[in-house]
Amino acid sequence: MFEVDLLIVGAGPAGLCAALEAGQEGLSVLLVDENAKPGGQLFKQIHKFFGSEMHKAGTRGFRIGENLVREIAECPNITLWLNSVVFSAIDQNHFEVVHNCSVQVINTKKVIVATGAIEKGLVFPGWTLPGVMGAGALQTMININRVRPGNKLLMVGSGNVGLIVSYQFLQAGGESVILVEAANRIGGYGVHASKIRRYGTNIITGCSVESVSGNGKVESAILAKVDDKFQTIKGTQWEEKVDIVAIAAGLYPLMELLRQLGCEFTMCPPLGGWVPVHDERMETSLNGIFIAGDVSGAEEASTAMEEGRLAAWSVTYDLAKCTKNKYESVRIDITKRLEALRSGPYGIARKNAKDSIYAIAKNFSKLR
Amino acid sequence: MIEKKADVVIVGGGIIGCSTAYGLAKMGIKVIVIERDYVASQGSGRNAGGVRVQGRLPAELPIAMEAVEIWKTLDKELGINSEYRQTGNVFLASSEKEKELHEKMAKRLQKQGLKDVRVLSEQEVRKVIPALKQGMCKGGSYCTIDGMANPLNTTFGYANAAAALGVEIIEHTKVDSIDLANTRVDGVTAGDLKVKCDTLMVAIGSWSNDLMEPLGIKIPITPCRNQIFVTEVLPPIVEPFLLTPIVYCNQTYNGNMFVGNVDPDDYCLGNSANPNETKRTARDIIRYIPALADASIIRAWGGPLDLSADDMPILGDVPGTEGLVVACGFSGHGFASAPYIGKLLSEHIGLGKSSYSLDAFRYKRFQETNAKVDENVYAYGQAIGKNR
Amino acid sequence: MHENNTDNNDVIICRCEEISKEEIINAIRNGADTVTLVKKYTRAGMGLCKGKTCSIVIQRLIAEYSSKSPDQIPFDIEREPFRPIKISVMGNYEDENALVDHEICLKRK
Ligand SMILES: Cc1cc2nc3c(=O)[nH]c(=O)nc-3n(C[C@H](O)[C@H](O)[C@H](O)COP(=O)(O)OP(=O)(O)OC[C@H]3O[C@@H](n4cnc5c(N)ncnc54)[C@H](O)[C@@H]3O)c2cc1C
Ligand SMILES: Cc1cc2nc3c(=O)[nH]c(=O)nc-3n(C[C@H](O)[C@H](O)[C@H](O)COP(=O)(O)OP(=O)(O)OC[C@H]3O[C@@H](n4cnc5c(N)ncnc54)[C@H](O)[C@@H]3O)c2cc1C
Repeated sequence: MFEVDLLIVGAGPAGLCAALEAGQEGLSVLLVDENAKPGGQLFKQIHKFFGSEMHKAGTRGFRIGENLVREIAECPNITLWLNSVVFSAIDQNHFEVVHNCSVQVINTKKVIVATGAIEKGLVFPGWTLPGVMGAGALQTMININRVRPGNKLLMVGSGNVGLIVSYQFLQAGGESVILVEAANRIGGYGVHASKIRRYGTNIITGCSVESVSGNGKVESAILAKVDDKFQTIKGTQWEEKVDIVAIAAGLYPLMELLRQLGCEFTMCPPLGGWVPVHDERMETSLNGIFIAGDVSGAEEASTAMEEGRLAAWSVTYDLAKCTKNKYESVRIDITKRLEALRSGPYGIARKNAKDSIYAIAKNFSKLR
Repeated sequence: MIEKKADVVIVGGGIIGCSTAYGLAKMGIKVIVIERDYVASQGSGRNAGGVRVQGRLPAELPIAMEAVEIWKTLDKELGINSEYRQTGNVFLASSEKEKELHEKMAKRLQKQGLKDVRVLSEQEVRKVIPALKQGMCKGGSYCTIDGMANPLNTTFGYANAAAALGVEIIEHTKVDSIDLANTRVDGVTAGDLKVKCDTLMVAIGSWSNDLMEPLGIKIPITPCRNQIFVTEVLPPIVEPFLLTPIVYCNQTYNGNMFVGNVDPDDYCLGNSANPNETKRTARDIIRYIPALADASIIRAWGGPLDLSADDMPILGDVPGTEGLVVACGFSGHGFASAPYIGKLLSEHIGLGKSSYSLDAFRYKRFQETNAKVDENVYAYGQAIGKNR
Repeated sequence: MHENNTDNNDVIICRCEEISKEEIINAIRNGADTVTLVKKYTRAGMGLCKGKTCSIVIQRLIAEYSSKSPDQIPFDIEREPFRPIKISVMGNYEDENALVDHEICLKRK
């Protein structure tokens, strides 16, 4: 049986940063990811990152990932298993993994779950037609596989994901984009919106897709105005010829492991819906089960990396591999950086949401 | 405190509780069913759906056979799709010695009136199951009237049919205690709910002693966890219910394959699977059916078995406590016979007599004879495992 | 985000098992007010993806057609394996690397 101090599930930005930090502090770390390459969502991000200097804003996402991966390779305490999926938690210390086509059980003292988030689906007549896909899937096709599955894109949802993937579609030679958003304002950052507007993209707020049709694949979409309860306003429908429809209706935490273990959850719409309750140290309602990144509430790579570091330090301290003073000073630094990332008109809602989750966690922290 | 009253209270919303409630409601008797979680949340919603007659002990055989007759028209009766099919049931013999036991068993069953069972050679078995790897058996016992059904659809079907006839089913309510008036059942208490009744039937399987022990009654059943994993939908691979000495598999109406272990020894209760067993069963089943190697497992779960001391259920009155009826100890095969057992229990409670005598299943047998597994007939039962 | 409210009850919600919106609404009306019960009544979410796409939509429908609010509608209980694992892979292991103490198995609830 493979025995380690710390198992990290998911090698996205959160898991990579957590592994590096814990590995450098002397913990034996096993980092597992189901993909052939580490980096999680980062590797799809060919754009320059938003955020501050400190958080590598201006660096392209996949470069950030490459640097982390190099550092991890240099750290002898970290074992990285790729193409390996964690498929079950037997209990809080034993996890089943498929590695090299065989099953292994990992016996670990602590766990950081950094499994990211997945896209929310949207259901309308025609959503199962070829040509309708998640925005993330479209991004993978364009940026990783270098294929552009169509020319005329209907993007549904104007969060950062919708805006960025629309832009990347246009950069990849796409002819046109229509972007609809059910709310009455654009969800993502202004910079991204103006970039695609410069390409002539029409961003229509207060509008949604009613149905999609075509002969064996997407050929056209019926759009309609919606009211503030997102109900169709009768008589406002119109048709647009498109050959690809991407859904960017938000992300929600991928919590399979935490659900199986029986963690507590709370409903928190600003972070994607149901999220695992966790405290400021990133520990869940279960002793020794930590989380970091989008799985703790869908945010950004920059917050994911900081949460990964924070969780790693909490584990390091709990395993008595660093002093209380050291831990406290690191924790305060990271917390400050996280607060900086969660400021401004877009960040503040996430900060408030996080604070409300920490408040719930206070109740069970005392019980432990 | 909420108070209610019914002629009969049934504790436990499994298939036994629901089918009995249905039978009673048809007689116009007012029934309340109280279930801790939701209908079919335990054994009745977690089993493999095997409807097997072969291998039954002498006293149970007529029940299993009559149940098959009910199964044939159950969909029409309940207005459901139970997915019941007579696919046959094949039990492999791994040695000549086992094959002899099968032959002895088949003779006994035939003598008792089951004409549809016969022992096959390996070659004949592989005609019935072409996917079976060569050299894995010395033959097997084959019963053509056996089959399988969908446990969820069936149990929900009984519950809905009972509800339509006026049975009140109270879910998410755990019965805490049985209330007595002297030596008579008065009702039950469940949190702040009190239900008075003339007759109380306890049909809570593995949990029976939770309610019985406080009355000084100890039913000789051992709770045990059994488990299944299920694959994605597959093309038809194995038609009959296939039992080997170590694993079994059966392919559902939808095409998912259920795979389980034959002889569980997890003396605990739980709805998650034993991860060691999941791996062992995966390894074992592809030794028999190599074509399953590439099938994907999508879910594994556990469910309760209530193993009785002599492998037979405990049905009927509990002497010393008037108005108390138990139904438990199904020892891993309570789903198959439930349509008839529910009918018998409802006759017993509603009419004071049943169309097939429940005497062999009386609770008292354990005090009288220290009943235990009958070695003569069990020789085969042992091989067939504790369930199905 | 937005559930558009034109009736379209034949639209497929669970792609793996091909379960329509109408079937799910019927189940909810018959008392299936949890994701688990909708699954057990209709098979929605019983397929290969284990409800990764449809769970969210089913939660929305339960909120719309029952008296429950979103914070009363959790996900289904998660049973391993989370990802489809081939039987040949599940059965490919070495005892000392992959089997745990029986005690640990008995404690699983
Ligand atoms: C289009 C788009 C643009 C974005 N742009 C920016 C940006 O400019 N700036 C920014 O800060 N953020 C951006 N983000 C967000 C950022 O990519 C995510 O917030 C970040 O990747 C989350 O990191 P994570 O480590 O939590 O999860 P992920 O990156 O999602 O990584 C999780 C990893 O865990 C693996 N995994 C999950 N379950 C298992 C399992 N059971 N076994 C093994 N492995 C498993 C997954 O396969 C994945 O590799 C963008 C996101 C998108 C989609
Ligand atoms: C993995 C597995 C495979 C099986 N395969 C087969 C098969 O192929 N063929 C076959 O015939 N049989 C099979 N069985 C056995 C079959 O499932 C049972 O015999 C049958 O379901 C028994 O039904 P029941 O109603 O007695 O019990 P259950 O369905 O277990 O119902 C008991 C109910 O009582 C409730 N309860 C418990 N305590 C309380 C309380 N205090 N208050 C209120 N309610 C309470 C529980 O929640 C439960 O719903 C299998 C069992 C398992 C576990």
